[in-house]
Amino acid sequence: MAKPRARGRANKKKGMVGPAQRKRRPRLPIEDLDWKNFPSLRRFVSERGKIRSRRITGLSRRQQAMVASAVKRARTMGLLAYPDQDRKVRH
Amino acid sequence: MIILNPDAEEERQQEMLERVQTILRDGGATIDHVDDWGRRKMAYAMQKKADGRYVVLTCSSDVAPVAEAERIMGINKELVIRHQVIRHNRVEAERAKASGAPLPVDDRPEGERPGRGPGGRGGGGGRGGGGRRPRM
Repeated sequence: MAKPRARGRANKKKGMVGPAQRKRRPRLPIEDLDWKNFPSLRRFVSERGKIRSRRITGLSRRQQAMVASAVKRARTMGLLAYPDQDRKVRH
Repeated sequence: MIILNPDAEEERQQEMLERVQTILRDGGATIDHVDDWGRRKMAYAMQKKADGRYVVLTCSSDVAPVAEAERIMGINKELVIRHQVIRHNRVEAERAKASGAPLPVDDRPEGERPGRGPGGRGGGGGRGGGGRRPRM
């Protein structure tokens, strides 16, 4: 559902965006998706530490749910930061 | 996963780990892996500490010994900064049993991380691009 709309909009805004085809489901190495594997979780998290939306990650609903819970677990154990937390703590 | 207080004496940390493992074993659990990640920086300070000693135990167990171990860890707050128990499903359990939980390696160092979702490089990624960085 979201796919055609997202692609259409993107093309309208920027005529020559790189590889035109946006992959709906990126190859998520589901084997590696683990809350302890925080370096690989970083790409599902914005710089502020917020979880990226499905629109950005392009994951399936199920995959996104798995990513979300993994990120939350990693946050609990101090592997990832909570949003906006670094301003207070880091440096 | 257990985060131990790295400032506590080495002995006491070890003692705590042994104690947890003993509780689990006495409760009939089998401990498959003990992965010590060592002292590392936490993403944020907990109990005003920047570092923690991370240890991951992989075991198969009934609920009761785990609950007891959690109780003990909860009491020893000056030793255990935080702990988290995750129950694996069958697939995860097999994987964890086979490989344990070694410290993951960062294959994409801090520098080159424009912060795109995977595959978001194409249409989706191009959207927010430009100079306009949405507040995320």
